[in-house]
Amino acid sequence: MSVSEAQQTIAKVWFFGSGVAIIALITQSLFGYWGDKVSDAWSWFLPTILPTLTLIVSSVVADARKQRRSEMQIEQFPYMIALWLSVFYFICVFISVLAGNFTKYAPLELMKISGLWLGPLQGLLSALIALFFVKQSSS
Amino acid sequence: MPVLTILVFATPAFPITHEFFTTNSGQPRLNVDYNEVQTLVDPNSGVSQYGVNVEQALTRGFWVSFWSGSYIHCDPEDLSLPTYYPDKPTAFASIPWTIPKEDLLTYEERRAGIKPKGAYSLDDVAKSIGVALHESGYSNFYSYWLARGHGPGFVLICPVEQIRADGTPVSKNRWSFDVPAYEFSIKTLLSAMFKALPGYYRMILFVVSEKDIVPKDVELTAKALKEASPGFLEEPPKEKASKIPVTPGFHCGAYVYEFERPTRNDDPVFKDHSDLSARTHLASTGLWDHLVNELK
Repeated sequence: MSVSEAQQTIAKVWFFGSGVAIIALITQSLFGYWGDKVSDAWSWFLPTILPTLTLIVSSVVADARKQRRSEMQIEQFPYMIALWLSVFYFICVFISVLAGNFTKYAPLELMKISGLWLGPLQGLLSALIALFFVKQSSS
Repeated sequence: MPVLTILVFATPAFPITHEFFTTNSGQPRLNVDYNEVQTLVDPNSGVSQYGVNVEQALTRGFWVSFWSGSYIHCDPEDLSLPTYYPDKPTAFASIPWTIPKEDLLTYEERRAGIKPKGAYSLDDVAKSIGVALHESGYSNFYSYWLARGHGPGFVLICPVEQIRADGTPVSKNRWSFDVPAYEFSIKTLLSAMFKALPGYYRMILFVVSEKDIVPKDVELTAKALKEASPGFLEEPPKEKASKIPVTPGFHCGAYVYEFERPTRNDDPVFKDHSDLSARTHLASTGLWDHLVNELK
C-alpha cells in the first residue's frame, strides 16, 4: 500500500469523525444540553481532535501545494493499527460527547473522566499518525 | 419491610424516649429507618447498644419514625430550622378535613373494620397523616413540635424526592438529590443525546396547627436543605400529643417546595413558581386521596 493511499484513508476517518462530533456538539450547544457550560464543553472537546487534525490538514495542504504524490510503499501493519485506533478513538469521543445523560456522571464530569482513556489513546495515535504524515511532509 | 410495618402498627403505644435514638454526641435522631435500627443492634447478643431488645428496637424505631411518636421542639421564629420555613413555598394546599373525628385505631384494627371510640387528639392526626404517607410510599419522615408561641401543632417533613416534570415520582433514585437518571424509552433516546435532562425535586411539609404559620424571609437553597438535619431537640411540650385535643380551629396544610436542576451539569435551585398546583403534587403519588380518606 502506498503512503498516499494510507494518508487519504486515515485523513477521511479523521475528517468524518471530527465532523460528526462537531455537529453533535453544535447541536447540543444550540439545544441547551450544556446549559451555561457550553464553553467548558468546547474547551474539553477541541484539544481532543485539533492537534492531530491540524497535523493531518497541514500535511494534506502541503502535499496539495507541491502537487506531489508519494508512491513510497508502507507496511500494512502500522497502517491498520493507525486506522483502527483512530476509529476506536472516535467511538470513545462520541461516547464522551453523547452519553452524558445515560451515566451516573454529569456530562461535564464524564468528559473530564474520559480524559483518563482518551489521553493515552491520543498519545499513541499521535505517534502513529506522525509516521504517515510528518515523515512524508518533511521528505 | 411490610411484615415489620405490620408489626409496628399492631404494637400498642408505649412511651418513647428521646434518649433511645440519640447519637454519640447526644443529638437526637428521629429519622430512623430499618437499616439504621439494625446497625444499633449487637448481632451477638441481639441487644442494642442501648440495652433494648431487638424486637423492641425495631418496633420503637419504626414507631418513632412512622407514628411521629416523638417530636422535636422547634420555633419557626428562631433559626433552629430556617431551611424548612422559606418565605415562599412553591405551592400550598389546604387539606380538607372535618373536626372532630372519631378516635384513630391501629392500622390492623382499621383494616379489620373496627370502629374507633374516644377523643380525637393531635397524636391521632399525626397518625392519620402517617398512614396516608405510608400508603403513598413515604415511609420515613421527620416530625417537629411547633414552639409554644405557634403551637399547639406539629410539622411533618417528607424527605426530598426526585420527580418528573408532571409531579410523578421517578422510578430510580427517588429519594435523593442526585442528578436525574435517564429512564429509557425509544421516543426519548435521541433527544437525550442532544437535549438537557433536567431534574425535578420536591419536599412536602405538612403543618397541623391552630394558628397560621408565618413563613420566614429566609431563602431556601439546595445546599442548606442537604445540610439540614434534625438536631434541634429542645424540651418537648409538657403535654403529650395524645392529650392535646384537636378543635375545629385546627387546620392542616401541605407546603410543597420544588427544586429544579436545569441540566445534569447544574446544581438544583429552588423554584419560586411551579406549573403544578400543590394538589397535583399530592395527587401524583395518591397522597391526596389517602389524606382525604384518612382525615375525612
